[in-house]
Amino acid sequence: MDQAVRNLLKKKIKVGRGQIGVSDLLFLLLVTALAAWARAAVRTFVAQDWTDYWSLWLGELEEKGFSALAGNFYDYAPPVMYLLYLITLLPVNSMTAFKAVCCLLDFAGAGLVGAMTAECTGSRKRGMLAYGIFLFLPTVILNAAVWSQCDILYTVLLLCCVRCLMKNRTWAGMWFYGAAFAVKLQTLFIFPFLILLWVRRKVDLKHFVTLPVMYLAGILPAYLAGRPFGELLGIYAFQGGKDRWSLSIKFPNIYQIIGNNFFLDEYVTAGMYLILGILMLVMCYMAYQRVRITKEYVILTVVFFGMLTTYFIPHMHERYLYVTDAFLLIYALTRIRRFPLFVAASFLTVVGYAQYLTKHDPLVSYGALAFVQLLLLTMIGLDVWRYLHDPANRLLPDQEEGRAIL
Amino acid sequence: MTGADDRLRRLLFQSFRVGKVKMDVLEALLAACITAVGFALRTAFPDSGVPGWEMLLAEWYLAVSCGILTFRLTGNGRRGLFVYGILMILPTVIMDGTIMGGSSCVGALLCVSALLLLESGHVWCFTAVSAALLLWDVRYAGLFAACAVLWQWRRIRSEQFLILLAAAAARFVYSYRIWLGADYTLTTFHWPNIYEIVGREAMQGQLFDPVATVGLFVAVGLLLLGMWALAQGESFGRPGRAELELLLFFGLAAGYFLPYMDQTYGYLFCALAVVWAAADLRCFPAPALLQIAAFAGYQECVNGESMMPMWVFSVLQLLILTGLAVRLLKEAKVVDLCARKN
Repeated sequence: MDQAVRNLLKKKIKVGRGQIGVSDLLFLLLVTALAAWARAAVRTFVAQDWTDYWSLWLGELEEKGFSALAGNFYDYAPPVMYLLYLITLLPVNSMTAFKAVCCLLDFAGAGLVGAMTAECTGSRKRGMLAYGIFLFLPTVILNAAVWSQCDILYTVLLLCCVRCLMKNRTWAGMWFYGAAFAVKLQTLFIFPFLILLWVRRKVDLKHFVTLPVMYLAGILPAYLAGRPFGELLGIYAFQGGKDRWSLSIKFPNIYQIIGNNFFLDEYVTAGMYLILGILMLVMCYMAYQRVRITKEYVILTVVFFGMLTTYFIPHMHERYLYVTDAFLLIYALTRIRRFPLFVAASFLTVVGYAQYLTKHDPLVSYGALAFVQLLLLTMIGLDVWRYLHDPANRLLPDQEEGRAIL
Repeated sequence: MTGADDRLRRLLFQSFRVGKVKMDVLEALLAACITAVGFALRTAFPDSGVPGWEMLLAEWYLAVSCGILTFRLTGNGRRGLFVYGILMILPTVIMDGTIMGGSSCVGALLCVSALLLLESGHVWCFTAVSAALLLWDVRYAGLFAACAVLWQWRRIRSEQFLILLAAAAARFVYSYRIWLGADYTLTTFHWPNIYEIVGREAMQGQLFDPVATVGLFVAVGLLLLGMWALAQGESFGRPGRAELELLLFFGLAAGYFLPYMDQTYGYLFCALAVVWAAADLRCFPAPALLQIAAFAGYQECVNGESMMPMWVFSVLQLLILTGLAVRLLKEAKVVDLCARKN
């Protein structure tokens, strides 16, 4: 009996073009089932965002149908509203439906994280581990299933973007990036990475046309529904001007150290100029480094820019490291010595979530967390530095740069 | 399109010459853009307005001087450009010059100019500028201590050192007399130093404040000990590097113990720390942490309260100071000397 069970677990099953062990398959099924159960268990929680925004928007859409999109009651990008509209057509509770869609995307995101980890490391086991870890990340569970937020939406698109770029399917990658931009402005946190890819001949200027095209495609239905074109074009600018009451909304960045309640208007402009200047300097420095562009470097750069920009841009929310955490997980499993860094980053972001959901102040001050975040940023920055200065990664002066990501 | 892309990429890395200076298009672009961003940063505060053109020019000149100093210390033009860029957008510089309308950049500019003069061998000019700075404000006490070590290392002559000694002594006597009867309410004014840890409330209604007076003598005594210890060692690194490190160390050490310093004390050292880290990239955390500590002081001054307790920033400064001291003692081979003698 014992041997029979062991033999069964060792058995390989053909799935598509590949093979998978029964034990691995069981592990994946178990993780998936448990993750689904966890999400189902918290699905009835009503967060403040749901009461204050989502339910009102859904009410408007239920009442007026698609033509409701002509109104200016929403400040999210129109593609999210189309999703809400589709939900109103379903014969189920709208909150459950919305959470279900986002939770399904959680699984898609976990699959992508797992696949990318496997591709970066060449280890299927690590890929499976990444899949499981992503599904059980507290922020991932809390974001969609509890808070009813949809950060997974653009995260999945960005994961698709980077995966396609890593597979040298440049157009597909950039279309995904354009789609992510049409959904959320936060996509821009990692935009400098694409400029560096352009400098290193991995993408061309023509590929950047996907951004305006996808954005315009995203707002077109809302325009046809009757919302003025100018308003739709400026929807991100309106979002930016909304959270004027604090420079950092439960997000551990520089404003939690120097003060997030002073110079509210002035520091918004100054903070944007400051990060612009910092990015100029960093990108110029990186542009001069002729190195092999590998998958690891791509992931590392995405994490670095995701952390750097959010550390200095004002009005960051607690959720804005969501994308970075996903890529950080891939990086941590690629370079296993960096795993503690990922653990620290995950705990750091969950503090803001906990405060939002429980309405209790955290036991650790955000200033202290901001110092930890600075330390993490420094460590990732040092990894970038080491990569750029590793002789094994440097191209010889006469060595031609290929167009493929290695 | 790919052809156009490649042409554009080649153009970015194309070198050109302006007089004796050779640079790439990308470097020129960075210099122009970062200058523009620096100016734009100064327009972000409508209540205080953009500083006058004299101050703008002084701040720009400070950035240029620090860039040149970096170039001289490292022989790397691009690093000089990066330092210029950082100085153009350094939050402490913006806070002092734009938000508070201060003029700390003048003193910092003079000090950096003095270092440039010393580095290029104009020691008498360096002495004149340093003496003026010493007479001007007690915050340049660290400069005197650095010069004393340089005198021991025979980098400046005895007559030059005597001039500096006279200037420092005059300033010390003057400050001592003033402080004795000033009846200040605080022992530090938003500058995160030892008094933020031991308690910054001054003792009033007495002939003198014992904490501040003891602090003053502790500062002088520690500077003297530091001078003596480092005088046992020897100069190191490229010309100018040891001078910069000495000034940074003694400046920060003096400010850490001198009473009645204000938030502007950190200005000069924030700028110098950037140059220092550019000369030795392993030191990069120091300017970042110093920047945070100094900026927190400014922020507290402007807002009347600090987001985090000021002692946190004092501890940060102490860490920087300790790291700097250990490094300096090692580089000047003072540690080796002690080991050998023992």
